Amino acid sequence: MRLTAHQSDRLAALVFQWAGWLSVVVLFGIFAMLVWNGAKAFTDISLAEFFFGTVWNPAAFGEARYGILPLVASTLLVTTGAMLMAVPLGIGTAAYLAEVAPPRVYNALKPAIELLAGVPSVAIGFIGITVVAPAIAKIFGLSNGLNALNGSVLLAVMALPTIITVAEDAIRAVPQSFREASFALGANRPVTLWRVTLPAAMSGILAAVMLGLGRALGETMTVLMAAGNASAFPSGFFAPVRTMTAAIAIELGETAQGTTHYFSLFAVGAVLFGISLLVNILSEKIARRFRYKI
Amino acid sequence: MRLLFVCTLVVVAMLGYILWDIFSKGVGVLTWEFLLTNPRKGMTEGGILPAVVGTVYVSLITAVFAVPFGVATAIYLNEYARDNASTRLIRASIRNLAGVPSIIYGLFGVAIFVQGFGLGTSLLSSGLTLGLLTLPYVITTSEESLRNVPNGLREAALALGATQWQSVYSVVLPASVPGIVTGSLLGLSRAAGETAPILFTGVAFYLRYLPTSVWDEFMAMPYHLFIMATQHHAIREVRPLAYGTALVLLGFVLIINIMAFFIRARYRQKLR
Amino acid sequence: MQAKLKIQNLHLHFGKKEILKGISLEMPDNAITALIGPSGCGKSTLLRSINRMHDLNPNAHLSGQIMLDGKNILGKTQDVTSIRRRVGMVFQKPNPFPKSIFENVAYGLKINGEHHPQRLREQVEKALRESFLWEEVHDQLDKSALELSGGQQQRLCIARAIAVEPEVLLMDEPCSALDPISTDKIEQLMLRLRERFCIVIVTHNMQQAQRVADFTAFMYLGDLIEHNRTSDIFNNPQQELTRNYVSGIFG
Repeated sequence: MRLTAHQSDRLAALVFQWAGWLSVVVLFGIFAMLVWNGAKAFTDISLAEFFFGTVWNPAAFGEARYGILPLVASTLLVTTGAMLMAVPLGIGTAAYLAEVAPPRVYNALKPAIELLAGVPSVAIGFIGITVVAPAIAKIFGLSNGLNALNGSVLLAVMALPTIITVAEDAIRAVPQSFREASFALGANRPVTLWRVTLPAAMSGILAAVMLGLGRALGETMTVLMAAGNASAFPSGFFAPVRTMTAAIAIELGETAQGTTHYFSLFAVGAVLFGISLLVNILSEKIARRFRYKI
Repeated sequence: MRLLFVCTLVVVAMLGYILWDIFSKGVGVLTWEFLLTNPRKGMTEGGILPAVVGTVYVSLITAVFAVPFGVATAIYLNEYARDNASTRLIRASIRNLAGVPSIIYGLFGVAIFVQGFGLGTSLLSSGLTLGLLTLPYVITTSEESLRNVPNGLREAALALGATQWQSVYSVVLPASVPGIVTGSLLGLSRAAGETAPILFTGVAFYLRYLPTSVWDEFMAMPYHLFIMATQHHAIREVRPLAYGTALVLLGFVLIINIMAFFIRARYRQKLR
Repeated sequence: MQAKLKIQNLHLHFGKKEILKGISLEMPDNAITALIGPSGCGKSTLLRSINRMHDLNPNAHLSGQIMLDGKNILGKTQDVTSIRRRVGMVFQKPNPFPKSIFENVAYGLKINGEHHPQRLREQVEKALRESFLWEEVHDQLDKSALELSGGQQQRLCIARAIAVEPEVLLMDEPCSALDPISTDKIEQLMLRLRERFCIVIVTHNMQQAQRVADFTAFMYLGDLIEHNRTSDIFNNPQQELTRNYVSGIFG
């Protein structure tokens, strides 16, 4: 059977519309799947224990403990550390690319940054084990550098390309007339950058930071490999930690399907999903404000 | 201003160090034998052929799934959708999907593909999971290249009596193919380097045989590197092999990136 | 004699804004009608409604009638693709497809179901000859249309439009992006094509209207101010506004 031009036009429109809805279905599907499986954990664990318990030790014989707080704290600790490093570095680099770099330098640096974004996270984690961790151990006189600090350094590397790219766009979006007005008043380049350009690009830069944060929060392999993987409540940057992502990655393979432990990992996933969704929505809100402003 | 330069220098130095470290320590084991033979003696000797093949296979399945759906969604958004509540919902979903951590895709793959659809731990399950992960990326880049097709071409086709579908497939799509290919390749290079989504959906520690169908489990370079770096019983001894694996993985990702780069560059030249 | 195109009380809104405020205008066959007026007067909008280009814009609302051979083409039951096959259009900026010269001209024929290679070749040649392009391109039909000069590209677009044998040819400032020599060639072409089509042209260039158009309609802020033989519009306008415009006092 051959379709007429009009029939195939109608059919194509329908097919494309279905494809469009696929993304909605997947996003809500992920959410529903996490809640559905995660909820099954709470036939055994109380909500209070899960959300406020300070011990995560589901494999303990006889007395398994399912407090998510150590995992959340580890995730927050490692990401905070990462942001402390990545934000100034990222914004500085973005400002250099957008405001200072001559075209030839720019054309060389831009693909390099894209390349950094393309380095697989296992490779970064591997470098963390072989290069960064020994360096940290040496500098701080530790027996072992696989700790939260190591994770932070690596996550900073992973978050940098996102922060740089988005922040650079934001800085470029500041109208040239702002700068010219500042120059006309006798301001030099550094003053113009600090007092005029960066503040004008602030919400775009904030959005960049939020996106980088989202990237760091959800990163799995680097922290799994190089942050020490101890599920105790973290005592500081020199403590080995196990983040939410790492807990799921390392423990799901070791647990039998259908056990409380198995389902509890989906509950952890649901919390992680919620956090990253929140970060995403927040960054979008900020970014939207920035679009309207300019 | 000098401070900005220092920031940039630090970033570039980090990238340079990562690349140099992996290259200098990995190049020693990089031989044809390393690429073309199986691991031997409990993976303390031999090559990584099954991991290379597995990564190629799973990337192909990813592409087969992500590219058609991604391009179709992009076509819908750029050519058909009007600016209304449901379109905004679709766009918001895509943006948020792009921010979902890869390990969550892994959980989804286990629950839906492996168990729900009964596909088991297999190339297919992993490919589909990676496909979902890549989907937002393909959609975004494809939509951008569709957006770059001048409206005049659409109008010209419609003014000749083409239906919208005719104008899309005979004029708009051909004009945006280079952009779509570039974006898809970049998306695939990310997928090829991912570990978390395949962890529970099909990748295997060690397999004696190459996969022969989409229902088989497979080895993959990222997971192999993970194993060699953290799980192997003789971690120190196999470190050179781990570096070799890292180098091949990085090279694989890099080659895809460079291919995308050249397609984009040639296309830009052609437009001029 | 019945007019080929008869526009009756045509209103067009973009959202809340009224762009065309009740236009009534007749355009005869085998003649060129020029639409002139200052920017934003709605002349391009009017032209685009004649082959229903506004269908693409969900905010556009049309009322009134456009009769083609006595049938209202704005009717809901009218098939928009078949209307566009009868009403060809050439755009302001040359917009050849990024395909070969041959494929550009053959495009409209192919989507209308013509796939016979011999007939395609004949019709492509005919259209190219009619648009004075054949001599220049006959030995390089496989070359990309994007490699042609701007003027050649625009003549190719005209060839592409007339290849499907429309009845009406709409031209939206077809020379505004071209140099004087190319413009001259296109004007010669228009005068030739007038023998076969009902041509409607939007132009900013009043000399051009005087050189090619049989009839001229002057529009201002969405209203049709005056419509008459071209010589009358330019030499003996009835309205103050028209006189001011054609004498260059504003515009």
